[in-house]
Order: sequence, then structure tokens, then C-alpha cells
Amino acid sequence: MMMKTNKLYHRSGNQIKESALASLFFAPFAILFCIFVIWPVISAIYYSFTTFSVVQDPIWVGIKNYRYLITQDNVFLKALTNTLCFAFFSGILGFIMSFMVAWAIDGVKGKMFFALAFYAPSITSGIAMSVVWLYFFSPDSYGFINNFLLQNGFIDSPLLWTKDPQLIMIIVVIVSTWMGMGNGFLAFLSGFQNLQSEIMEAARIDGVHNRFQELIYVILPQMKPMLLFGAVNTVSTSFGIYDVPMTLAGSPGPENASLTLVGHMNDYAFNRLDYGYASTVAVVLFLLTFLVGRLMFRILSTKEE
Amino acid sequence: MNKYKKILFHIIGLVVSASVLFSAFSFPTYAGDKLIEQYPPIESDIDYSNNNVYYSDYCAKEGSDATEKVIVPINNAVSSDGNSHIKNSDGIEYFDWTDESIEWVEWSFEVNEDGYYNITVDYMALPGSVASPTRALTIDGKELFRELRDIQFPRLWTDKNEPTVDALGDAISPQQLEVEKRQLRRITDSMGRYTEPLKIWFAAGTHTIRFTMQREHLNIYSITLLPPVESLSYKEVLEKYKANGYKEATSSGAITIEAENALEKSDVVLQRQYNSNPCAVPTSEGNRILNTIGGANWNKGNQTITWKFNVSESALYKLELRLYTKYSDELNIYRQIAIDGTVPFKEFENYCFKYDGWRTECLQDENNEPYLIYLSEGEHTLSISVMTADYLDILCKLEESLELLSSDIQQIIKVTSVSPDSNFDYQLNKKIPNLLGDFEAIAKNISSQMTELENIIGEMPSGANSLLEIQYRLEMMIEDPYIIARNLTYLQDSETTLSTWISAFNNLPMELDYIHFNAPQNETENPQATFFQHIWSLCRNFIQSFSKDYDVVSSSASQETQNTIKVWISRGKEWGTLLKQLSDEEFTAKTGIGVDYSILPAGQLGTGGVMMLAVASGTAPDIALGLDSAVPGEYGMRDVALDLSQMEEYDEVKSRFTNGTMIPYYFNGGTYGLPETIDFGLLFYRKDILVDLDLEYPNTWNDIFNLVLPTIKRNGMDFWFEGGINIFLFQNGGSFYTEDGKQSDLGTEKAQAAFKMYSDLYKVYDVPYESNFYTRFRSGQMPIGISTLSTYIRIKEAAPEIDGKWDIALLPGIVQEDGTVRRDDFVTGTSLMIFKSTKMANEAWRFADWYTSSAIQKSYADMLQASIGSSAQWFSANREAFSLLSWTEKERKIVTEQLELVQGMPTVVGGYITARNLENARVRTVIQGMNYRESIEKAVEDIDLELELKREEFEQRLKYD
Repeated sequence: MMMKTNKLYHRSGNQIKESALASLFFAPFAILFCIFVIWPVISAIYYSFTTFSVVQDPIWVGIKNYRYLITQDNVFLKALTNTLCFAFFSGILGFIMSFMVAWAIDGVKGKMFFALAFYAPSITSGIAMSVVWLYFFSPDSYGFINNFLLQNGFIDSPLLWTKDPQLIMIIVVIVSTWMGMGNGFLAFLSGFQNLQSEIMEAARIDGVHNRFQELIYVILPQMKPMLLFGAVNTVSTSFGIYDVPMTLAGSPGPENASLTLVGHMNDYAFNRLDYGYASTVAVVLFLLTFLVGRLMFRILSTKEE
Repeated sequence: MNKYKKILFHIIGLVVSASVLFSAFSFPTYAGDKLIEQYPPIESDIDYSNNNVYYSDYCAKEGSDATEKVIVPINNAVSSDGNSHIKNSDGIEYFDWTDESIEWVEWSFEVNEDGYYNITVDYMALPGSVASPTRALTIDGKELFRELRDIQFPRLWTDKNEPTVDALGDAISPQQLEVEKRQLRRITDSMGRYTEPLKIWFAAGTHTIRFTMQREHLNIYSITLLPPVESLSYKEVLEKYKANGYKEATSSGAITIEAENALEKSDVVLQRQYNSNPCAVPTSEGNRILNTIGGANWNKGNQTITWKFNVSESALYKLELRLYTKYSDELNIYRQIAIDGTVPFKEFENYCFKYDGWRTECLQDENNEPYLIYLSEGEHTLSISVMTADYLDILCKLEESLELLSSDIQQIIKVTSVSPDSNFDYQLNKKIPNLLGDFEAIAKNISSQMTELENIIGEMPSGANSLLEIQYRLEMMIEDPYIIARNLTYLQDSETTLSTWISAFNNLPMELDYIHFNAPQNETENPQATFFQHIWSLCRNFIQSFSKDYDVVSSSASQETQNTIKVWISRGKEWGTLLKQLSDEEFTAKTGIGVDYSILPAGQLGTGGVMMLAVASGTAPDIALGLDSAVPGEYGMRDVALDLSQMEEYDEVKSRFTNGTMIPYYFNGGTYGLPETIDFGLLFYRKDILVDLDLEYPNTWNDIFNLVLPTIKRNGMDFWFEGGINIFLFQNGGSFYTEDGKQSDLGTEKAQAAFKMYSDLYKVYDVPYESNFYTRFRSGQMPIGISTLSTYIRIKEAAPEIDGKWDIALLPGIVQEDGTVRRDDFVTGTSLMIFKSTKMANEAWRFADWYTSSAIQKSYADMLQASIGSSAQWFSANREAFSLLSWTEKERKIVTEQLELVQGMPTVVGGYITARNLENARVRTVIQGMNYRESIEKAVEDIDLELELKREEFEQRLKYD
């Protein structure tokens, strides 16, 4: 600490000029970041302690919103369970699968083609993709899956994929896992390309003799930064899931079956005109994402970092 | 004597007690008279045995055309009410059909010569709605063929004025004006299926002809039987030209008609259109100009556009059209072309245009020799009408297949029930012996019709694949009849596919830019926009989009007004433009208050949308129109909407609507909005099918549950219900909330009983929750159901084949303790709201007052119909304007009576939660099988929690304020 102040104190004029110039270049980002990220976060935290309908002034209510959220809001719990469930499957499952796929594709001819094929769903809008999937899971006899099952006599009447609370979960997980796969995928693929062949060779001499051992003892340790990036990325997108379940089954859906945290937030903000409570949900969502992100860091980060 | 008396007395006593006994056990029936009356008597005096005969079969019979005309004496009319209704004006006698009660009128006349005749009617359509007057014709008490069921007598329309330009420089479509004049018309079919007027055989002797009312009014001046005229072939006409020594027009003698400047149109929807193509004449410089006519609306059989033009040189001309036919379905387009009302030669009776983009096409024969038309010096008219004749054969054959398929499906359902066990072998081929034969016939028919279509068009339209798939699947089922049962839903869907295709053949649109009568030696010029021209016009429009505000509707007249109110409309642009026209003429001119309109995309004016942000940022308008009926209440409770009950003459304005319609706008003693349009439930039923099934008109829900549902289910048909628990709740005397609006009232016995009825419909009776009622009602698979006014319009406008076979009725009700039947109904709709932030509350209120008044609502409804078409029916919430819409007298009685019984959803703090929890309750009971009582109780619990919470929030605010 001392060192730092000293250093600052002893700055020459040239250095000050330099840092002023640097600030100038940094300023556009800093200003925009403050306006569009820092300020909304702060105001959201403020509003979470108020009751606020946008069209009227906010009223300070203290921790009432938080108290209600924790003690009374059953729907929030439902939304949280749903989100965690989606996050678990589409996050963890998608994470593992995208790693496997990247591993499989690496070294295959026409890698770029496969890479594009796997990445495309992630950059397409969730709404568009869900519409495509609705062809499969349409709850009438037209739906591909229902049609197949009907044709082969597995079922007698079409399954209500997007209407039956018990089935909605399944299809949302399938669709969002498929979509989430691209998230870490590119990072993994580039990670595979940067593997050092010397280490591989050394490992082979030391007795690694199949690809699995290679994967576990050589590749994974080298890939930690990419894994970390992929994990944080996947978790944060999974917590933000909204448009897929909304398009597939509507939000909140029958019996709140397709309600996620973001859905819950939107519901309060735009249907119930209660921005205060919506901000509370947003703050909780923010904390949750942040904590899980830290957890990922803890698990995956190397000692040097 | 005494003994006999005693016996008689005993007998009477027995009869009386028996009848008392029976009546006690018999079903509770409605005591009133008007409902029973609604059920139509089966028309027994007309012979419908030719139900399945089409005109093509009828006229194929041997027989020669008549040679002399027969005049039907107009003044010996006999009408259904016994009066003659013959009027006389200026010495001209005519049959006056303005009286609603005239169901039919009949004339008898003498024919001296056997032969085919054209029936020619001299008529004048009387102002009413925009629909064409339609009548059914029967000859000698017999319907000779199907097409006679709906014979149309078109109105004539013209532009009221030349198009004007609004402040943005965009043209405004002119209003349509009905031309009231007599028309002489040889009757044709209503769909344009036959190129010639209908020929009807009359043997020598006395005959009667009866016109039966279908819709709209007309006066009949004369009826004549004329000998049919056979058009000459072009070859014969050409020889005539030569014999007369007609010469070809000189190269400078070309005549150009801008197609948008039409003289008369047979349908109000045929209007000037805007085309931005760089080769369109006149060419748009970026602004909207009306430079073409027709388009997607000029698609139905017999729609005719007529132009007037002057010829300065008597000579032979070739005809060139600048046109566009590249619409969906990839079908060829057909038009009939007539000069001065007559088709010049056979080839023009049904001229074919290929599926293609903008081009100038010279009308020519297969050797590319232009058809020449002789035009004498002076004024002429050109008429072009839509024809569907070439598809007639395919159409009829596919219709036959459709009917066969429908009856097969019903037979299958009788064996398998609606949801068959897919692993059970029903042995359908043995139980329904004709089934496989039918399937084979259908598959063969589809395949041969598709080949036929390919021959006509030259290639297979891509959409035809869905038909080929039906053929393929049917063949698979023939091979393995075991799979038929599990394909039941597929078969039902095939019905829809087939009927969609059949309607595609009746949809042949064309857009016209200009018409040339050119000298034969001149080249036909066919300008095509180059790639760069297209790019340029795209760029220009893109650049313009930065400076031009497309959402603002303002008028041509730069009105000098000090106070202008701002109105937001959440509807299509046409709605805004028309309202602007109306308010310029009727409101601003009289009050001096200007009105500025902004168009917002539909749905943007919900509770959470743009409007909320506008309020928050202080840029809200003065009035918003087109809001969902729940919105004003929600904003009212948040102190954003103005309390209208404080305004002058509020009571008068309020009395324009029924009490039930106003319910959603009340909150806490204030009124925060006014209804604009309404939609509510009605009972729809197919008369023909109910008669077949021997069913009575269902008067109560008991009738539906105990008689209708079992019977139609047994016959493989289904019931349709659209409306939710509201209907049962209201009819049971229940309500959504307690008196103070603080708690849900759905926990009461009445509400629970209502919920049980509602959920039983799906759970016990397996009524489909999602389905296409319109299609199934047409095909007869859902012969009865409850749907809304929008469905009424759809069936009325787009299901001509069941015209007259269906009807609407009051909702079935629930019998109350005192024996009366309650038929309460729900109502939804759109509304308007005045913002509290407005600085011109009084001006805004005057606008609202003006806008919701009967006269304005009626004119607005008419204008919408005229410029957008009958599908844009404006169901005004104003009860007087509503009753003046184009109903038949019978329908008017029903809808106005039902309107008095509607109830809206009351507004309470947190009310949005009710619908959501009711849906959850339905899912719990119907899908997950929870007991209805438990399910509704959970809903009540959830609703109450939310209501309490929300109210707490509001009380806090009150304290704060």
C-alpha cells in the first residue's frame, strides 16, 4: 500500500500526461459502463426496497419485499426450483456434452463445419429455436414426436407436451440443453488447438497409453482456463433462461411449470406493475448468479490465479 | 246418462293426472315462446332431393335452347306474407322487397316453347350493408341444382372522390359510394364457376319461380326468360371483321386506361392500390400513390371491375394488360373480358393468365397471334371479372372426396370412439365394408386431380404435396387396415387440408396497373425494372424512413385549431386513417378541436408496454383507443386514467352501453374507460345435422349434458366450447369477487358447481380444448358449439357452402329455483381511456363522447367494411350501433337479447391473478385429475393471497399520498 502511494506521488509530468491520455481512451467505455451497467444495478438495488409501479413515485418499504420473497412467495420457490433444474441440466449436462463434442470434433476433418453446426443454435434467438422445436413437441397429432408415437402405437392420444406441467420440464431441458451446448463449445475447441504437443509426448513416454488417460491426466489440467470460462458462461446464461420456456409453454405456464426467475421478474414488472418486487427478484438472481460463479472459480481455478 | 257422465269424468281425470304426472317427469323446458320459434321449421314445401346435383350435371342433359323470350308478369307476385308488395313509381311497377318479414316471393308464368332459358332479372340493390343481396331460387317447388341456393345480385360501387393526399404526401384511399341504379343481369352462379349464365330448362306450360330471402334487400323490376346466347369463336368473329371490312388501328391510335380509374366495381373491396414497382404508372417517388387496382382482394368469382373509355377511331385493336398475378398457391388466374357488357368471342369468356410477376401481357391465342377487338368510335366500357371455371372439375371432384372422407371418419368413430386404442385391432375393414373401397376411390381421385392440375398449370404447385401425402397415407392404410384406427387424427386433419385446397381454387387474385388498346402493328412494350432501379427505390425508401414518421396519421386539410388532442390507436393504419377522415369531417369541423393520431402496433398498449413508459416519462397522449378492456381499470387504480364519471353528461354516454359491458371500467366508485368494441359468446348450430340426429335446440346446459353431448359423441361428432368458467359462474348466480372486491368468491357452492360443470365438459365429456371450430363446423364434425361473434363473421363470410344450413341462438342457460332460465354471457372487447395527465380533459371527453355516439359508431363500422372488407366487422359496444349492423332480422333479435345479458370481468386490485389461477385449476382437474373441489379451493387460496398483498401495497400508497 505504501509502495503504491509513493509511486503515485513520484509521478513525473510525462506520466500524468500519459495517464490522462489513457483515461481519455478509457472514458467512453467507463462512461457507458457506468450508465448502462453500474447505474441500473444500483437503482435496481434501491428499487428493491420500495414499492414502485413506474407510473407513480416509489415508496420506501424497507426489507418488506425481501421478507415476502423469503417467507411467503411460493411461486418464487417454484421459479427457483425450475431455474435450478434448468440450470443443472442445461448447464452441467450441456457443459459436459459440449466438452465431449469438442473433444470428438477436434482432429476430425472438416472441423469448421461441425463447429459451425454446433455453435449455430447458440447464436440464434431462443424464440426462433423454440419455434423450430415446437414442430417436434407440438401437443397435437401433428407434432413429430407425437406423430411417431401414435403411428407406432406407443400412445393412444397425443401427449400434451407444452400443456402438462410434468412434461414441460422435460422439453424445456431438452431444448435449452441443445441450445446451451454452444456456450462453452468454442472455448473448448480453441483450448484443444492450443494443447502443447510436448506435454503429450512426455506423457506418452511416462506411460499414458489410451485417449481416456490422455484426456484425464493431460488435457483436462491444461484446459482449466477454458473450462472455467465455459462454466461461468454456461451458469450465467442458464440462470437467465426465459425465452425458451416462455415460447414453448408460455410464462408462467400451467401451474407455473415453465416459470423461471427471469419469468417471475418479468411477470411482476410488466403484468403486475410492481417494479419494486421485480427488482428484489432481480437482486436475488444477481446474487445467486454471482455466488454460483464464485463457486465455479473455486472448483476450477488453478492455484496460480 | 249419468253412467256415461261418470265414465267420461273418470277418463278426463285419468288423462289430466297422467299428463300432470308426465309433465312432472319430463325435462324442464323453456316456457317462453321465442326460443322455440327460433328452431327453424323444416322447410317441407320445397323439394331438396337434388341436393347433390351440380349445374354441370344439370345442363349436360339433352335439350335445345329456346328461341323466344318469355316475360314474367311482375305484378302477379305472391309473397310469403300474402301481400303483393307491388309498388309503382313513375309508371314503373316493381316488387318492393324492403319488408324484413318477406321470406319468399313467387311468380307463375306461361312458357310456350320447350327449351333452355337464361333467367334475367332487372333489379336494384337497396342500401344496407356492403354484402350483395342474395336469394335462393326454386322452380316449381324444386331446387334444380345446388348453385341455385345462392344467387347473388351485386351492388355497384364507385370512388366517392379522387384520392386526396395527407400531410406526409401519402395518398388516402377514397371512400366507396354505392351507385344506386337498376341493373339487368342474366343470373350466374355466385362463385364464377361457369363461364356462361345459368341455363334452365322449361317445358311448355305453366311454371312458378320462387325467390327465397338469404340476405340484403332489393327491388325487382322485371324477370325475363331469355334464350341463351352462344358466343362466337374468335375465328368466326375474325371472318365477320373481314366481311365488314374493318381495318386495323393506325399506330398512333392507341388508347390507354389507367386501371385505378375504374368506373364501377361489383364489390366494395375492389379499390385502388399502391404499388412501389419502379415501372408502375404513374411511378411513386417514394410516397404512397394509388396507381393500381385490385390485388389480393380481387380474387373471388364474379367480382367485376368496369372502366369507361373513348375511342376516336373505329378500328381493330389488340388488348394489352399490365398486371401481376404472383400470389400464393402458384395457380393460373382466369378472367372474363367483356366490351360493353358482352363477351366479344368465346376465348374471352375464360382467359388464362399464368402465375407471374409484373408484365405487360398482350391477350393472344396459342400461336401468339393477338386477339383483335373491333371498337367503333365513341364511348365504350370494358369489364373484367374473376372466373374459376377451369378448376371447376377438380373442385367438384375434391369436394366429393371430402364428403366421402367425412362420412368415413364418422363411421370409423362410431366403431372406435373418438380416441381409439391404437393397439387394438378394430377390424375396421370388416365392420365398415365400404371403407377400403372409399379410401381407394379418394386416393385415386386425388392422384388424378393432381395430374389434371398439372396439365392445366404446366407444373405441380408446391403446395400440392400435402394432397399427395394424403394419397400416400391412404394407400398405406389400404395395405394395412390395422393402422387406420391410429391414423384417425390424421384423417381428420386431412379433411382440413382438403377443404383448404378447395378454397384455394376460389382465390384467384390479380393486380392491374393499366390497360392498352393498342394498334396491332405496334410492338407490345413490356418494361421491366432493372436491378439497379429496384436497389435505388429500396435505398430511397430506406433513407426516407429516417425523416418520415409512418405512425402518424394526419389529414390533408391543414386545419387551424388552437387545441389539438393527441390520440393513440393500437390498431392497423387503415383504422387510423378512416377515423381521421371521420373526425375531420364530423368532429373538428363542428367543434374546432383538432385530433392527431398515432398508430401503435397492436399489443403495445397493454399494461406493461409503451403506454406505461410514456406515462412515466410524461409523454402520454390525451386518449388511447384500442385497449384491452382490463387496461383502463388497471390504470385507473394507479391514478393514471381520468375518472370519467365526473364529466358532463356522463350518464347519457354511459347509457349507450349495456350495464354488463361497463363492469370492467368501474373501480372504487369511478369509471376509467369506455368500451369501443365487444365480443361475446353465442350458440352456433347446424340445422341440417341436428334434424338428422333428431335433436332439439338445447335450451339449458342440462340439455347439452344429457341429450346433445351423448348423441353427438355417439355419432362421432363433437361439441365446441369457448368461454371459460364465466358463463357457468354467472348463470349459476355466482361472482368472481366478494362485494367489497377484497376476496375471491369462487369458494361458494354456486361457484364450485360452476367449476364442476366447466371441468366436466373436458374431463367427463372429452370436449376438445383446442380445435379449429370454424373448419369442423363447416365439415359438420362439430355441428354445435359455443363461440364468439368473430367466428360468426368467419362462418358467414367464408363458408358459403353451408349458407342457410346453420344458425345462431342464445346461449343455453341454467334453470333457476323459480323456474326461469339464466343465460348470462361473458364479454370481452376493446376500450378507450383518457389520461389523467391531459391538459385538455374537456376536449378529450368531447371526443370520447362524439366517438362513442351511435351515429359515429355506425358510420365508422360502415367505412371499415367498405375499405377493408366484410371481414373487418366492427362490433360496436354502442348497443344502438351494434343492432344496426348487417344482421338478418332473426339474428338481430338474438344478438341484441344476448348483449343485454353479458357481464364483463370486474376490476379489483390484483385481479389479473384470477384468470391465471382458474387456468391452473383447470389443468389440475382436467389433466392431472385432481378433485374439482380441492382444485378450486386451492385457486381461491392463491387468489386471496395475491389480492391481500396487492391491496396492502395500495393501502400503503394511500397513506403515502
